[in-house]
Amino acid sequence: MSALVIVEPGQDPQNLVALAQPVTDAVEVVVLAVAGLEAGEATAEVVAGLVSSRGADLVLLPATPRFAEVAALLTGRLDAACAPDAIALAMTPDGLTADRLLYGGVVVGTVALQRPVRVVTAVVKPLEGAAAAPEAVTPPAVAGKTLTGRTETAAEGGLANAERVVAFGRALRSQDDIALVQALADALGAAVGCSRPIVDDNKWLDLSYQVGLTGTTVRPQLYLALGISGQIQHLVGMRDSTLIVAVNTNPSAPIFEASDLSVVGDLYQIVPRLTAALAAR
Amino acid sequence: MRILVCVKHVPDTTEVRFDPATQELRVRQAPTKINNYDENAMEAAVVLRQALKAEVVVGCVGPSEAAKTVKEAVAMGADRGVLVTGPWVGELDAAGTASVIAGLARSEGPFDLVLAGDVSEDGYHSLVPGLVATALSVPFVRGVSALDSDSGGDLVSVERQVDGAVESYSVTLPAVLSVSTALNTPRTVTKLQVMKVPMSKVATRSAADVGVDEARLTPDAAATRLVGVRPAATPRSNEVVTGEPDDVVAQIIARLEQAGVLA
Repeated sequence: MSALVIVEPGQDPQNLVALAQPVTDAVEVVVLAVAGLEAGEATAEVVAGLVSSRGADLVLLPATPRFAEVAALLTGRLDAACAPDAIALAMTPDGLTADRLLYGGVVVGTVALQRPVRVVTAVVKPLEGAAAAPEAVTPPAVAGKTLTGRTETAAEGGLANAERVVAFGRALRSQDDIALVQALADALGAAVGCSRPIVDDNKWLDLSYQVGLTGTTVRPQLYLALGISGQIQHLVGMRDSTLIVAVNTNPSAPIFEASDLSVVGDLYQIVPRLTAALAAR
Repeated sequence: MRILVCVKHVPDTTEVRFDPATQELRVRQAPTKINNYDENAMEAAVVLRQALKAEVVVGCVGPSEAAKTVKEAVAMGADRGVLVTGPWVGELDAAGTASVIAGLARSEGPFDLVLAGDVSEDGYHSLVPGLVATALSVPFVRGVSALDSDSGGDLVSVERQVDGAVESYSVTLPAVLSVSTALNTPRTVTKLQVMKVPMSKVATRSAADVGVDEARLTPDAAATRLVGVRPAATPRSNEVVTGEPDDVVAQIIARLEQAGVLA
């Protein structure tokens, strides 16, 4: 088996290389610059060409919104077997299998990939240090789809790579009270996050702040969850954090099952005191 | 203009449990519902229906009880719905589902626009819309967060959020778009509105009806096949702290210090 790892400049291929290693020693990393390849169709065509010229039968892509589009189009184009958001690969009596979370993260499913070419996506980290030179490619034309604008957005609140995250949920009573959370986050040097209802129902913050299945997956040293009940969709986005502290008035809130420290109490009583105590240090 | 909206009938994942005693996944007992992400696609279609006098057809691949999900989607403002079902739906993978939807799009179409939510809450592959676009040889955009149709209806302008950028595209129809929850706020329908949708508006089709050979929809013929499940729990110390706020705060800080989180 021969694996091809694709990343953008600025993405560390290491997670993808490590994922492939249990099933093959032949792993090649190719860096593809974004410019000219914004449309998923263009990237898929370039990657399909690389799969063919390198004779690869396993393609590993970053699990990002951009490559989710690419993965689907590449899978369709190559009639491949695709495992998005894989956490492990193995060679088994069922052939090449991928482990991935199912049903909002309740279980890990093992999926047999029953096509000659397999497409796998997995989380990548930002690259520290210098990137390899991007592969020289000629951007292919894309029928019926024209990029008319691209605006770089602010650094996404830095949530994905923050070493400390303070997140809040429905127990926060008003949008003005986000200031309480922000003050605590500032005292801790943490990024602010939130649960899905804050984005989808309350519309207090945009998607870049959402932790969980449809938002950002975080793995900080400290995850402090304030008034978040702990729906599985949320837990899957934060449960690999090193230390998880949850504050909730409901002693049977599911978030406590995923916590190292389960603080049964009112965030309005605890947050201002915690902020003050940290500031006084 | 004619629009196909793909909706998925999913178990409520908050009710899905793994039984450690039997090592079984309890999915069948879980309540079922419309995939929330597809409601954003429905909302977009209903807005276009009003603006462009488009015909909106709901398409669903699922078990016979998915008729309730089709009815719910139709109640949001579609003209009619089609459920493709058969003994093969239980273990259908993303590629199989996409082949059936592409068959549906051809047999009920032609459609100018195929809309779906970005992901489904159960499998979370985010593959089917892109696979449908590939099968139909039409452009695809995933993660649509803004959508504008020109009045003629042969072009749409879309925006999508990717890592660190917002991109806009001009897309020639026919096309497949999967939409993000940032696109809109889906209208809510009452149980009464859903009940009032006559079953005559929900047609049922077999794989053969939409031109797909059932033999290609078996787990062995599929691109992917689920071969095992195990619980995904991460053990935690679950140390409970309660009491006076000042005491609680002191205990939190002690724990943070112990973990070396405080500088």
